Amino acid sequence: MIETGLHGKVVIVTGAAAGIGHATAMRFALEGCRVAAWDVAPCEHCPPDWFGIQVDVSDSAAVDAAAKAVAERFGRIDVLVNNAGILRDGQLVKWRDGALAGRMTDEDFDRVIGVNLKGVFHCTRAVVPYMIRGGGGVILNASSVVALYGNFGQTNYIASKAGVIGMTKVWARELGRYRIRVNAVAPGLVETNILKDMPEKVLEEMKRRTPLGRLGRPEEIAEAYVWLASDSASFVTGAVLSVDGGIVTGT
Amino acid sequence: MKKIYIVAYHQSKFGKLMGMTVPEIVRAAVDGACGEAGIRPEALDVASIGAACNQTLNEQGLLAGLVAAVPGMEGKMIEGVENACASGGQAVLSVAQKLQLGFGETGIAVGYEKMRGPDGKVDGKRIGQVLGYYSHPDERPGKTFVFPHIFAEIMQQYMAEYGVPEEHLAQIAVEEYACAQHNPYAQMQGVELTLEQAMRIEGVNRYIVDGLPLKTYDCSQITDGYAALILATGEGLARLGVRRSQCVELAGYGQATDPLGRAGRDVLRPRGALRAMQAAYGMAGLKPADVNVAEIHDCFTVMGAIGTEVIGMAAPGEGARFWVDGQARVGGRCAINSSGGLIAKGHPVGATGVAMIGWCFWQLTGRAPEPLQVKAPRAAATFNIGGPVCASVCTVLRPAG
Repeated sequence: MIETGLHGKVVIVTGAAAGIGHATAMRFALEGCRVAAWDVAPCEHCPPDWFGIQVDVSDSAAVDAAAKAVAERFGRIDVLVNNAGILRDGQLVKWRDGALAGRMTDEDFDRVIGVNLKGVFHCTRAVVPYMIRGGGGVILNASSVVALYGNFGQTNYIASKAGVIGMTKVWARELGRYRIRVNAVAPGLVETNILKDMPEKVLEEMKRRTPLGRLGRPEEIAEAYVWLASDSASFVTGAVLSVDGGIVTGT
Repeated sequence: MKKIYIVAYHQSKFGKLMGMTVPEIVRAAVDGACGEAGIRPEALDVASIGAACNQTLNEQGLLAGLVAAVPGMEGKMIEGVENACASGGQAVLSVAQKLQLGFGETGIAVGYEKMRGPDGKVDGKRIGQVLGYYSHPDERPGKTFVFPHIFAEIMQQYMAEYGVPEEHLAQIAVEEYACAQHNPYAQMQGVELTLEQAMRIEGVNRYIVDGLPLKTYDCSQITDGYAALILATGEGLARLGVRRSQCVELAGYGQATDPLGRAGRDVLRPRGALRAMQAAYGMAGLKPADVNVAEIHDCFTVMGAIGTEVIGMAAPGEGARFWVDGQARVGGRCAINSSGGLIAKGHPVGATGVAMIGWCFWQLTGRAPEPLQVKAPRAAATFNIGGPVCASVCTVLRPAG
C-alpha cells in the first residue's frame, strides 16, 4: 500500500475532458480518489464512475451549482485542480508596412481572462467553504512557464497565468489557518491538442530551448499535481512548481 | 496449491462508455482497480484480459499489449483470453493459474466489452451477427439473431420437459430488476419491471422468434462496461501490505467446455457446467448448502433457472421455482444475482465473468449497497458460461478471515 493520504479523497478537476486535465483525473483515480470531472465539453472519454459535470468555469453561478452538486454527491470536497484553460493568441498590435494591421481584440482578452483567471477565482471561491467545513483541503492552480518568462503573442494568456500565481500566493496566506494548502504548477510545453495549431518550426525551437530536449507529456504534469495534493507535500503552500524540462523562454 | 486471494475490485457503471476508446477503457480498468487496492500497477506481476467482440466490433486485437501500455505494466507476463461470454471468468482463472504456477505473487484480471457506438446507440443487427460467431456454423442458418434464437429453443425445451410455466421464468427477470434499483452500477437502475409487464406483449416486449416463448424481458442487455480484479498469493498480500481479513479467498474454481454444437447433448443438464461447478466446490471443500451468495449467468431467464440448478440450489427443473418462492432474494436461502444479473445489471460480455466474482467480493466483505447486502454472508458461488452453454467457468469464494 502506498500511503499518499489520497485514497477516497474527493477531487475536482476542471478541464477534465482532455489533455492535462484528463491525465490528471486519471492519475487521481489511480490513487483511489473519487473524481468529479468538470468541463465545458461533454466528457466523452471519461470513465462513467467519474462524476461528470458540464460547466463553464467563467460562469460564476454555474460553478457554485457544480460545487454544491459535488458536495451533495460525495459529502465533501478535498482537492480542486484549477486546470481549465484556453488560448486566444495574438500580438498586442500588429504593425505591417508602416501601418497598424491589427490589435488583440477586447473579446480575445476578456475570454481568456474569464476562463483562465476568473474561472480559477470562481471555482476556488465556490469550493473553499466546503473544504473549511471538512477540516482542510488542497487547491492547485494551473499557471504556465510562460507566466514566469513571457512569450510572444500571449498578452491575454500570460496576464491570466501570472494572475493565477498572484492569487495562489494570496490564498496560501488567507487559507493556511483552515489547513488549506494552495499551490501552482507551471507546466512547460506539453503534448496536448492546445498545441495543434502551433507551427512545427516553433515547436522545434521550443524543444531546442528545453534542456531535456522534448515536449512534456500530460502524465508528467499530473504527477506534480498528485504530489502537491498528497501528504508528501504537507508543508508546501504558496509555491509555484515548474514542470517544464528546464525550458528557458523569452523571445 | 497456493491459496489465491482477491484483493480489490473495480468496475465501471454498466451501460454506456460513450467515446471511450479501447486503450482508455483498459487503462481505466487497471488504474481503477489499483486505486481501489491502494497499489500501483508496478506492483503487479502478471495480467490477463478477456473480451469477446474486440476484433469484430472494436477492430482491435492483442489486448494484452494494451494492458502492457498502461504505465507500470510493461514487460510483464500478460495474456489475452477469449471464451465468448466466459472470457472474463477465464481471465480470472488465467491469473490465478499463473500465480499458482509461481510466475508471480500478484496479478490483475481485466474484462471489458464495448458494444455500443460512441453515441451510446446499439447496432442490433451487427451485434446479432458478431455474437452469432460464438455458435457452431451448422446451427446458424435460418437464424437472424442466433443466440436469442438458440436460447428461445432451450427455453421452450425447459418449459416442455419440466412443465414450467412462462410466468415462472419471467419472475426471474422481475426479481433481478428489483435488485438493480439499488445497484448504482446496474444498467437498468431506474427501470422498474412488474410480472404483468414482463408477460404482456406490448411496446418493447415481444416474442423474439415467432412460435417460441422468449420475450424481450427474458433477455440480458447490450452493454458497455469494464471490470477488474486484483489477485494475490499469501506472499503477494504481504508484499502489497494488504490485510488478509479485507480479502476474499478464491477457494475453488473449475472450468469445463462442452462441444460448441447444441445438437446431441443435454443442454438442460449441461455436463461441462455441472462438472466445473463440482470441481470448484470440491477444491474449496464446500457444498451448495454452505453458500448463501451467488452470481449466475442469466443471459436469458431460462439460464437463471438452469444456473440455479447448476450451482446446486435446486434439483433439475426446480430452478425457476426457487426464484418464484423468493429463495433467491436477499434474505432468502441464497441471494442469487443480487447485483441485478446480466438481465438488469447488464452484460458487457467480456466483463461479465469478472463482475460476477467482483460482486461476490463486495458481498463477502460487506461492501454491497445496503438493501442488497446479505447479512452474514458465508460463501459465494459463481457460474459464468460462454456460447450455447458451452464453456463454463465456476468459482467458490469465501471470506479470507
